Amino acid sequence: MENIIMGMSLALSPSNLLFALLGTLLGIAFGAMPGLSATMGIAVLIPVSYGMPPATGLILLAGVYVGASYGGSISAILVNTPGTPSAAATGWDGHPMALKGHATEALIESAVASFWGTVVGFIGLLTIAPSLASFSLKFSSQENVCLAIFGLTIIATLSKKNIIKGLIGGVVGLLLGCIGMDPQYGYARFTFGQMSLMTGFPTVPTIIGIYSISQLLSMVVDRDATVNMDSSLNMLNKYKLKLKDLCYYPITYLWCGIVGMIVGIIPAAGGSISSFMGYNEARRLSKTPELFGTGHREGVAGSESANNALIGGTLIPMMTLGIPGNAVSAVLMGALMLHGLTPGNDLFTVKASITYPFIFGILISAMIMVIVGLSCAKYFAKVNKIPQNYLAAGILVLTVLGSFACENSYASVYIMLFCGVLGYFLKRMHIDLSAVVLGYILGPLAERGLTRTFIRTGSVAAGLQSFVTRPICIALLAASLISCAYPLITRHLDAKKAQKGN
Amino acid sequence: MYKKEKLGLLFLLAFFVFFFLVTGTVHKDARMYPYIVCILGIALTSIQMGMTISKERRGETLNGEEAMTKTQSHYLIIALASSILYVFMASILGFFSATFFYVILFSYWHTNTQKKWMYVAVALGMDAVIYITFKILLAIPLPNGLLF
Repeated sequence: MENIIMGMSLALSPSNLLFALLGTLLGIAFGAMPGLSATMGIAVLIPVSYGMPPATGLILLAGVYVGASYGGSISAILVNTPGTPSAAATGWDGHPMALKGHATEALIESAVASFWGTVVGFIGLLTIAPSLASFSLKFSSQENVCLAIFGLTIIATLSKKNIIKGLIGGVVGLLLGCIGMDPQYGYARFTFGQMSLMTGFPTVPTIIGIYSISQLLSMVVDRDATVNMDSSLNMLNKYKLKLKDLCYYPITYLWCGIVGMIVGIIPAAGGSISSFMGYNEARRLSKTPELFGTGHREGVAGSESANNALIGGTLIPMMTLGIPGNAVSAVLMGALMLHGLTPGNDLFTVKASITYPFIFGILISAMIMVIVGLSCAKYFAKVNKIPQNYLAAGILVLTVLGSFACENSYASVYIMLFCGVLGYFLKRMHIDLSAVVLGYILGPLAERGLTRTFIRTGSVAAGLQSFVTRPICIALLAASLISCAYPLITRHLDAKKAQKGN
Repeated sequence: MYKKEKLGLLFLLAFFVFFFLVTGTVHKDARMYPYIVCILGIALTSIQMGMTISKERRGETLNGEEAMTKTQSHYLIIALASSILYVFMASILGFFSATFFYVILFSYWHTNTQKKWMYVAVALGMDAVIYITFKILLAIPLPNGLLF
C-alpha cells in the first residue's frame, strides 16, 4: 500500500504529468499513422527518456504505449486502415459507422473503451505483478533455463502460419545473443577482433534496428503505400458529447478488458488476438449481435477495451519474469534495462520508487488519452499529412541518436543498422521479428542457466536430472510442451473444420 | 516467387554455415552452445528449403509478397547507402552538420515535389529541436566532429 501511495504521488508530480501528456500525444500520433506503431514510437523516444530521471522517462514511454494503442483506431475508423495491427477489429464496426455518418461517435467510443480497457489492465498489473515477482525469487538456474525454454516455445504460437520459419527466426535471435563474451568463462565469440563486440550486441540498438530500421526501409521501398485521410476527415459529424457516452457499455468494457488482459499475460498472444477476442466477446454479450459488422458501436467498445487492457497484461510477464510477450514489451524491457532496472522482484522492492510511478503513469496516460481523444481525435487524423520524406529522415536521425546515446559509441549505431537490414530481410522472408527478439533476449538466459546448472551439479547427466526433480521446472516444461502443441492442434482442427465445410 | 524464397533460404543457410565454421575458432569451453544453435539453424533452414522445393514441384502457389521491382531495389540500396554514409559523415563532420545535409538530401531524393526552401527549413528545424531537447534540456552526449 505504501508503494502504491508513493507511486501515485510521484506520478502526479508536475514534470511527470507533463511528460505523460507529451508521451500520450506522441503515442496517439504514432498510432494514427499506418505503418508506424507503438514499438517504433517507444524505440524512437528511448534516447529522449535516457536523459531524464528513470521514473519520468518510463512514464513518457508508458504514455506512448497507451496513446499508440488508442491512436491505431483513428485510421481504422476513418479509412479502414488500422494504424496498428491490433486496431484491425475496431475497423469492422468503426468504419461502417463512419460511412453512416457517425465517425465522431465511433472515435468517442474508441477513446472511452480504450480508457476503461487500460484501467482494467492497470488494476491487473498493480495486483498480479508484485505477487508474481516475489514468486520469481524461488527461481534458481534450472528454473531460469525452463523459463527461457518456455519463452522460446512461444515462437511456435507467434508463427502459427509457418512454425519452421518462426523457429528459424528464433535461432537467428539465439545466434545474435551468442555474440560477445560467453556468459560463464568470458571467452570471446564472433567478435572478429572488434573490442566493441566483446560485450555483445547491446539490447536497445539491436531492438531498434530489428523493429524500427526494418520498418523504415519498408516505408522507403513501398513509398506508394501511404494512406491519405484528407477525404475521410469530411466524415466527421457534429456530435454533442453526453455523460452516458463516458460509460456506454460498462459490462463490455469490464469483460472485454479482462479478456484482453489475460491474453496479454499469455506471452506472444498479442494485440491482434486480444482485439479479435474482445470483439467476439462483445458480440456474445450483446443483446443485438446481428448488428455487429454493420456499424455497431458495441463492436468498437469490445475490441478497443480488450486491445488497451493488453497493455497491463503484457507488462506482467515482462516486469516479473523478464519474458517480453510482444514487440512493444521487448522494446520497453530494453528501456527498463537502459535505466538500470532488471525485471524481477527487485523492480517491486528495491526499485519501487521507479516502478510504481511507471505503473501509475499508465493510468494517468489513459486519463490524458481519453480527454484528448474526446476533444481532438480529428486533429490526430491530420498527422497523416506529414510528408513521408521528412518523417522517414526524422526517424532515422532519432534512431541513430538513440543508439549512439546508449553506449556513447558509433559501434552501437552500426550494430543497429546491421540489425535493421537483417530485420528487413527476415521480414521479406515472412519470418516473425518477435521470434528473433525472443531468441536474442532469452538465449543468453538459457545458456547461462544451463552452464551454471552443469557446474553446480557436477556433470551434464546430473544437471539434466535436476530439471525433472524440481516442481517449478516440471510445470514450466509442461507449459512449454502445451505451448508447442497448441498451434499444431489448432491448425489441425482448423484444417478439419475447413474440410467439413467443403 | 519461388526463386526469391529459395534465394532467401540459401542466404540464411550460408549465414548459419558461416557462423558454424567461425565457431571452430572459439575457445573449446565456449563452443558447445553456438554449435548447437548453428546446427539447429542449418537443420531448420534445410527443412524449410525441402518443403519449398516440394511445394514448387507439386505446383502449389506460394503465399507472400511479390518480388521487389528494380526501382524498389534501387530505393533500398540508396536508403541503406545513405544511412551508412550519414553515420560515417556524422563521425567526421559532427552530428548536426551531417544531419542537416542528410535530411535535405534524403527528403529531396524521396520526394522532390516540395518547395526547395522547405527542405532546408525542415533540416534546420530538426537540428534546432534536437539541439534544444537533447543537448540543452537532457544533456545527452551527442557525436562530435570537425564542424558542429
